[in-house]
Amino acid sequence: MAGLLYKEFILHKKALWTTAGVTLVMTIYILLMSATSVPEDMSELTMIFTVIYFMLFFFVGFIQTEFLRKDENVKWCGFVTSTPKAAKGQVQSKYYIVLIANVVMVSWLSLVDSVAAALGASSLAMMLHVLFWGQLLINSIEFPFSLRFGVNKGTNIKMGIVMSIVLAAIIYGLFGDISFLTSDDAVENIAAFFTGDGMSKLGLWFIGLLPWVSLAAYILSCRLSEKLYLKGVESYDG
Amino acid sequence: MTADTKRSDKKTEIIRLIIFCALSALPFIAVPFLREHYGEPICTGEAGASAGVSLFLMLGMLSPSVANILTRLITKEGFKDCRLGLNLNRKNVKYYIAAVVVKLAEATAAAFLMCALFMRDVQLSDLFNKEFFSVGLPTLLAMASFGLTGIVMFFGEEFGWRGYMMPKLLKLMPKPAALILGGVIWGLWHAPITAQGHNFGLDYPLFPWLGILLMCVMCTFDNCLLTLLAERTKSVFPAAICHGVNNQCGMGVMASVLFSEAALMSLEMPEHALVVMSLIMLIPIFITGTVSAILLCRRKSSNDTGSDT
Repeated sequence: MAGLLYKEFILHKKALWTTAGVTLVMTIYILLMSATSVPEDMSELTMIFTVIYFMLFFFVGFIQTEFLRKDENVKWCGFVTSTPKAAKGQVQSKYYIVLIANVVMVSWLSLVDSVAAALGASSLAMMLHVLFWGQLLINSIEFPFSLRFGVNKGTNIKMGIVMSIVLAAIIYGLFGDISFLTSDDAVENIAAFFTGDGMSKLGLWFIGLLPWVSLAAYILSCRLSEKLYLKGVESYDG
Repeated sequence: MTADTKRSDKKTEIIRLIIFCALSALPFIAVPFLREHYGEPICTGEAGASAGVSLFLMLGMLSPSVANILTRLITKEGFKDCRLGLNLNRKNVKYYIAAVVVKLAEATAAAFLMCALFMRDVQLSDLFNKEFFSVGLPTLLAMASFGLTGIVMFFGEEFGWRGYMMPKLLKLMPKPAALILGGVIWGLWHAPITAQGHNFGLDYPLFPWLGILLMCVMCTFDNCLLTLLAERTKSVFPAAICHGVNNQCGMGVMASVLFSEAALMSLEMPEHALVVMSLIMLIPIFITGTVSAILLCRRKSSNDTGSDT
């Protein structure tokens, strides 16, 4: 397993360094803004930081797709299947490397969030918690499709899920109560949503269940992918 | 292997352990400076609630892991048997589940003990939180899951203690002695912050020595459970998860989730409440620690008789 993980790091060195570089730049920005802003700007800052965190997780999501795409090669898959770790090890290495990438990102951003909070910003630990587990849940659905039918189809599934969430939000915006967005305190309301202040019971259940559902889904997804992997290899072009 | 080689290996392991312990304790050099900066003990009052102290404690939790890596580099030990695999198979999944369930059970038992000892004039019908299923349970699930999201911090401790120190101690001495010594070292590592009010506050007899002693006792029993999880799975991750759930879902959290506000307000805590609460918490920890120690020590005995394990 260590060898397969090392292979992933070597193959994706450039992408990983790029992500690290972007994360470092954003970290410096967040810390500078936290240190130099006045309390009245905190709500706007909270929203800016939320967008930054979303963007950084999106970067990790992009690299995840590349982890799968690079190994879409019949010869490589045939070779790795003949090794002691076999197809199971290959699939598990993908799930491990994606988990490691997400854990490193959420841990780094949690540290940055703590430092920003020490400098006066609002803590977005709740938002990071949701982003991390939400990313894992989406991966759990995407990966079996990617490994069975190819990365392009898997990415389409992921986009479908994300667009469904966006569509649901738009439909809610058209017919639901959005007074919290149109009132004078709109910015403060949105900031409070991301920091988790005054959460509703439904929100509490969502925060409580999401990690456990994501964890179970990720483990089951790995087991399913182990069974589907070799069938997927037959459809590769290379 | 000759007796001389064995003695020399033992000496090398002891030196490695000493270097490891010294490096783990290094960050706490900052404690007096932080005390000076905040003007009060750093684990109480405004200093204790500040993000700066939280950040320091978070980084401090990573020091055993850093010490593990540095010790291996300094002593040219290499990185064999790091126990970094998940080893999540059918045989080990019960330990992963136990890592969460045992800690929640301990906290629940301690919360009920506290209720039985110190709650006054509360009817059974008014005892429990009527919003348990709508608010309490999701809060508990979320708190436990924060232990998973913050796994790097808890891994930071466990990779050092159960990933490096305990395997070495278990090789050097009999298991009971290793479990006790490991727990005492872990407890003493907390001493600089125990003396700043961590866990027990400042206002108790024989401060800080009683607090340090209590911490060593708690850590010894906790060490038994965590070492059992690490040894059976050959992975530090179940211990890290267990540690995370322990820190996020303690007796206080369980009590606030299970019992009604009126019941909690009726608590008549005695003097030195934090110390008393820790003693109550020690009872379930003592039980699980003892059972874990017996299971750990018994395995070696059944190995010795050649029975299949």
